[in-house]
Order: sequence, then C-alpha cells, then structure tokens
Amino acid sequence: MDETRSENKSMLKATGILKWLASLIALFLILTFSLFIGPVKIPYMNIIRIVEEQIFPWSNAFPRSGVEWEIVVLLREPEIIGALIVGSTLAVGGAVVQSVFRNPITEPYIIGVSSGAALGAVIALDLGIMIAGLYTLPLFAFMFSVVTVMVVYMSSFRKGRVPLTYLLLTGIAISLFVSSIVAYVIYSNLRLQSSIYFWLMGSLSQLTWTDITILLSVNFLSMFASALYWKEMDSLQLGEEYAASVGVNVERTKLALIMLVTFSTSVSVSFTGLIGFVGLIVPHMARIIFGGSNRVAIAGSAIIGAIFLMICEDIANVVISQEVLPIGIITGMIGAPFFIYLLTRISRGAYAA
Amino acid sequence: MPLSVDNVSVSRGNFRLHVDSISLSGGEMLGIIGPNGSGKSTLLRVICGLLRPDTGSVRIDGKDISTMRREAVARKVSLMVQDIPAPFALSVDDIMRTACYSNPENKNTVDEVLEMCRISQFKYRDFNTLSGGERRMVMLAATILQGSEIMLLDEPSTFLDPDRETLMFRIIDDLKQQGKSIVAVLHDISMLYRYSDSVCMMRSGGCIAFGRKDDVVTEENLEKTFGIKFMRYDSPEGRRFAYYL
Repeated sequence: MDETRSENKSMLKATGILKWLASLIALFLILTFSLFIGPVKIPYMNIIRIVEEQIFPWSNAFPRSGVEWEIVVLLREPEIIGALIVGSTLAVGGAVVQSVFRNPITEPYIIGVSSGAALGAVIALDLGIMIAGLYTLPLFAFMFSVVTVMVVYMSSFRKGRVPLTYLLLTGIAISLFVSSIVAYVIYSNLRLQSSIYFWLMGSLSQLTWTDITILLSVNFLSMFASALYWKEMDSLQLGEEYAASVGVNVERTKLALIMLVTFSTSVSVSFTGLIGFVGLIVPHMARIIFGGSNRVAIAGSAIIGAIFLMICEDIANVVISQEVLPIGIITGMIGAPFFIYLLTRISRGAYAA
Repeated sequence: MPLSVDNVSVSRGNFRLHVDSISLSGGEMLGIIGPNGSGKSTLLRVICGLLRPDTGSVRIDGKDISTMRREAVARKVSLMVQDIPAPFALSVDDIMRTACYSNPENKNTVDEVLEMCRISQFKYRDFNTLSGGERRMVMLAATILQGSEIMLLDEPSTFLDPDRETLMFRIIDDLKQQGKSIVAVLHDISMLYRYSDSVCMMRSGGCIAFGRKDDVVTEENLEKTFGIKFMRYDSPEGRRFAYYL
C-alpha cells in the first residue's frame, strides 16, 4: 500500500512538471508566432532579421529604421508584450478575487475596478483635461478606479468586519450606479462616442514601450506579492471561520489582497480599456489544468492568461483584413461560450459549489 | 488550568450567551450537551477567539486570548467546525497544508496523521468528491495536524458510520493520553458520558450544570436541559441513557 502511494505521488509530480513545461513552451511558441501576425504583411525573413538585430545589435542584420522596422518594433512588440502582461495580470486578479470571495463567478471588475476606470476615462475625455499630456486618460482611469473600489470597501464595513456578501453586493450596486453616470456622460456628448467607444471595448494596439515599462514593473510586482499569499488564500477558500481558526488574520489578508488586485488591474485597465472575461474565465482554466490550490493556480493563471490574451490579440489582428478589432470583442466572443461550457461543468459537480 | 472561561457573555441579535465559569485540565475532555440553539457552537467560537466576548475572559495557560495574536491563538486552540465549503477542487493534501499555517513544521507529520485517521488513500483526492463521513475524518486530521494543546470539536461524530465513530473516539482517547485537552459538542449522551471527564449542560444560552460527569449527567439534569424524561441504566458495557418516546 505504501508503494502504491509513493508511486502515485511521483506520478503526480511528473505530470505536474510536464504540465508546467508544456504551458511554458506554449507561451513561448505563441509569443514568437504572434510576431508574424498583423494587419500589414511583412516578409517573414525580415521579421526574423529584425528580432536578430534587436537581440544582437552588433550583427547588423537589419537597418534600424524604415516602415518594417517601426511596425515590428514600435507596434507589434509592445502589443504582444502588452497582451502577455495584461492577460496575466487580469487572470491573476481573477484567481485572487475568486479565492477571497469563495465564489467561482466573480472577477476584479465586480468590485468597481471597471466602472470606476470608465468614469475616469469619460470625464477626462468629456472635459478635455490634459494635465498629464498623453497620460491624462490612464491617470484619470486609474484614480477613479481605485477610489471606486475604496468607496465599495468602506461602505461594506459592518462592525469592524467586511462580510463578503456585503462587499459583493455593494460592489455590484455601486458599479451599476457609476456605469449609469458613464452612460449619461456619453449620451449627452455625441462627440465623445467614437473616442470612448474604442476604450470601452478594450484595445492593446496603442501601447508604447513606455507604457509597457510602467505595466511591467507595477503589475509583476503586485502579482508576485499576491502570489505570496497563497496559503492564506487556500485557507480562505475553506471559509473565513476556518481560515481564522488555523491562524490567518482574515480581515488584514482580505484588505491586502483586494488592494493588490485593485492596484494591478486598475493600472492594466487604465492603459488598455475594459478587456472583459479574462479575469472570470482564465482562473477556471488554470484550476482545471493545474489544480485548485493557489500554490499552483496563481502561477498557472498568469501563464494561461498571457497565452489566452495573445491568442485573442492574434485573432483580432487577422479576422478582418487590413483592420484591427478591439480585443475586448474577441475575448467576449471566445470567453462567453467557454464560460457557458464551464457552467455546465459546475452543474455536473466538477466544482460542487 | 490550560483553559478557563470566566463570566463570558456574548450577544448576537436576540440570542445571548452567558457562562459563569468553566475550566478544563490537560489530558481531559469536556463534553458539552444541550438542545439545538442553546449556544454550544457559539461557546466554542468564543473559546477559540473567533467571537470576542462582550464581557469576561477566556484564558489559556493563564493568558487572556483577546490579547494574543491570531497565529498565537491558533497554536494553542484548534477548532473542528461542522462542515467546510470548498468551492474549488482542493485535495486533502492541500487542506492539510492550510492546517499547518501556524505550525509549518507539522507538515512532516501529515502522513502519520492521515494514517491515524485511516484516510491515507485519499491524500491526493479532491475533498469535494469524498463522502460526508470521509470529509469528517479529513477535518479531524486537519484539527490534529494544527498541533494545538486544546482541541474544540463541534459535533465530530455526525455522518460517521459505527466503524469510523469508534475510530474517532479511540483517537480522542489517544489524544487525551498525550495530554491534549478536548472540548466536544456531542448529541449522543451515552457517548458523552463514556468519554468525557467533565460535562457542561447548556440551555438557552446559559450553562445550567457544570462539573465532573458523575455529578452532572443525571436524569434530573437531563430533564432540565432537554425538557423530556430520561432513563439511566447500567449495563456491563457501561452506563447508558435513553429518553422516553
């Protein structure tokens, strides 16, 4: 009996390592593959030479100017890296929020991140504010998003605690309230409609290398920090009472995790607009593949989220020739049917929620 | 005294719990019994610090737990709740990891504890796919793994078949031998009498009798607690209690 168990364990370990390896290889392959996809046709050899020139600048493989160089280096690469970072950030945010709320159908947007960011963006555009130049819109989106979540959190306090059901319901109510202000501002200003529309759909095509630097540093830092909380999140998954009884400081952990998620997803959203469904669905894919514990689900969500958003970005780039669709449309189109499939799995008892 | 509860009262809505004085020595078991809604589970939550009492104090080794950090309390007291929800597929092994949160070195004894509870074969199984009785044993294992000197068990034997129920009480006896103090809410009066050293009887938020089991578990006290007549009979296997239908 002891033998079968140790065999069982080593087999589990082997398949575990295999899964990580396979997903990392998939990540790398899609990252590479995405370079060759875009609305403008560029000879493949040239793309390879451009990358060679970037990695080995002394090789003189390709002239550092011209249309093709600029398309690959200034448009495609930030877009792909952006998809990688934003995809993993949104997915990790979703995994964390689902664990904390012990609820498989939540995501960071539900506590006010998305509606707050939309309000900030709409106000910046409507009033024509330019205090921070090109960064005015992201700045406003970020600030409003954080403030909205703070309002949601503060108004959920009951006797020094934040009961999760209150937080969830308050989040939904305040999100709806803020969304109707957004709708009113857009409705009353026709000029806004075309410019805000693209942002609301979510898009990665305008990202610059400076944006990427900001996204990368902020998001990876807060992702890493929230991954450190995996033990607390696993305990919270088994109920707040259980978590407290094994020694977790429940209220402090909830506050820390919600702050981290709000911070990272708000930064992402403020640069890219509202890319939906990643935070909701990818954590489920990751948990099905790697397991329910956050020891593996956080890192798994990061990898799967990156892969998912890069694939969506590729599809958005090719589905209509010569044109780039907002990526939010693609994530919704792929995400929604997949989510319905997941729901049938839940009802078949795979989650037994 | 490892555990002493003094003058504790808690109000939750219309319900009020008040307990004058309860104490428990090392290596002993305190059985709590009473009708549904009499405050048994609430008392357990006060003892492990999940509910802060409005007045009075809970002391462990003479130290008031309201002054201790959450982790420090968890090293002293563990609680086996009636059921835990698991919305995502956590394996038994994952749950054992969470039980070691405050005592990470206890991870080395996971296999030993699972063996003791006879659930080793479920180590890598999804907790959600286990039966009610198997889940109870997993939760008992988690409580033991937490490694605290005081263990609070909230109706530990519900859902257990006779085989597992016997096993559970044998494990509890072993834990007592090792010097652990146990507080258990039980509904089976005969089992309560057999395994407890002292007993607390509760009714509508108050403790109406507390003391050594032979002084407390009497037909009169049981009638006062439950409002129905009980009969005691001594058989070769021990003292038993039955109620009139």
